[in-house]
Amino acid sequence: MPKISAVKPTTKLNVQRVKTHKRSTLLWSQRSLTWWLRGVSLLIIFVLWEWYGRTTNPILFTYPTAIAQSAIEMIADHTLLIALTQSMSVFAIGLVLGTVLGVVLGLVTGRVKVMAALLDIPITALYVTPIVALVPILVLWFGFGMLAKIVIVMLFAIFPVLINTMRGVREIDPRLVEVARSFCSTEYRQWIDLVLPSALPFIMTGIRLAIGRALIAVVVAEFYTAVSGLGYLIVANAHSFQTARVFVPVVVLMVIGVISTLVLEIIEAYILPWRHRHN
Amino acid sequence: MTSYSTPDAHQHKLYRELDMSPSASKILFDSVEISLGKRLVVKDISFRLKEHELLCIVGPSGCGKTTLLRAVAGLTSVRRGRILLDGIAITRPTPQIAMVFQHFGLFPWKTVRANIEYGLSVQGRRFGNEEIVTHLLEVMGLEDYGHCYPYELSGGMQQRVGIARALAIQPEVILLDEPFSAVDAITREMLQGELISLWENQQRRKTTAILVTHDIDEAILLGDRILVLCGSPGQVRLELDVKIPRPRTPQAIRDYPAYSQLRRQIWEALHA
Repeated sequence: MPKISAVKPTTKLNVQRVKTHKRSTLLWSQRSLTWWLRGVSLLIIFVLWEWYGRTTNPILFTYPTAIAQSAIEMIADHTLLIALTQSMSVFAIGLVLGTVLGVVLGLVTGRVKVMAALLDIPITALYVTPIVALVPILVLWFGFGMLAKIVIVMLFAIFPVLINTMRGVREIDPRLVEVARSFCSTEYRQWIDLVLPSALPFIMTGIRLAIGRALIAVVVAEFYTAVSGLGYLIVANAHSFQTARVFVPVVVLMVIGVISTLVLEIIEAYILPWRHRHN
Repeated sequence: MTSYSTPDAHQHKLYRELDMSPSASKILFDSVEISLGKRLVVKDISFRLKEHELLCIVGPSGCGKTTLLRAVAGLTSVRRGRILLDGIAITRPTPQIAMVFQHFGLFPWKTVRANIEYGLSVQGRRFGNEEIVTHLLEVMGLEDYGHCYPYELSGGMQQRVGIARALAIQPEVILLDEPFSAVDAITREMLQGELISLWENQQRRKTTAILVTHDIDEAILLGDRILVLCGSPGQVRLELDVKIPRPRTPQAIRDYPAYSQLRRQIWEALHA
């Protein structure tokens, strides 16, 4: 192997490192300010809600401390935990199935031209159809049980993942394809080195959108099939005018959404390390 | 224009009649004609490259020099004529040839180390890869950046990775497509200096190289031979030997009388 006596550009790069360091401390102070502002806005919302909620009829509206109290009661008599388990299993199974199917179909339709030609129109047609409209038919096919609920959640979750994966695969940098070809890469290796890594950020975006839709789907499914889970708690308590108790599952759903998105962000930072530059 | 092209084209024919055996040359272009879609990009390209020769192809943009290089890499097919590597026609990419790209072509999701190792792993070489990569990191002055991602490096550093990736597979032929045109002038000069010393200090002394550039000085500095490509479709306007002795440096080369003479010749060929 050749040896050269080239000047190593270490000094130049040290300068760059220092710059990055300074910028990151600056970013940190900006970030702490951002968090402070977020806290303030939440506090204002809670105070206003509490004040307004206490002045209105408890059947029509409620306030944070009342919700908290109901939540404690519902945790104590296990109703919340039972409902949560039911909803979460539907949510998790449906979301995972939808994601897996969406990724597989997206990769195939994105990369194989024949499959794209075959599936483009059906996929777009199903995507623009409001899936809620299909629920009665799904009930007809899959009954009122767990299976129907999972299918509904899956159908809600699959499209954002599928369409984003397809786009990710189609937006592979053609120059990198050329690099792969020039180094005699096989098709299989191109999937590993190029297709998957290019599509991954898009897939993650798809999953993030799918989480939101899957949460909607859980509630829709629990309303329109055999009433169960958090959806049941909402319906049952609304019918008996226990408004504070209606809000508990709603808040729980919100918290689930926030936590899943945060978890996804952590996973994203871990599996997409080359995308850190933007944060 | 004619004063250059006519005798030269004639000379080409003579060369080919004198030595028809393709095996005498590492790479042989035999009346190559390439078109992209309906557009004829280059025509009537005939020349030979000996082993361990560094050829620079100079020409204005749009004269087809990059297309010609891509054809050597097996990325573009030749419409008429042949390009032979060791007497065998190139029809698809082969592991004997490695390419360095103008746009660096690094995988953003691979670390510097993984990028350099890419060619080795994709070609199924399993043993000694780590040593090769470590050695190349050292040679290119990238020891501390093995675990960085490309976006963390400057343009010059990224192209060092690109060159290291090509060298890693120990190719017989290395193709460089305007490798320094995407970096600033100072970095370019540094990289040119590094490339010369890489070339001049090879231990195996077997690599053959083609470098495409639009920079006359770069061509004289690096090349053993220079091919001036002009026109549309691009044709060989002039073929020159660079008789400036090695080792060369960007500073010292300007003192040779041959330097300004070559420079003028190329300039006139380009502007004829």
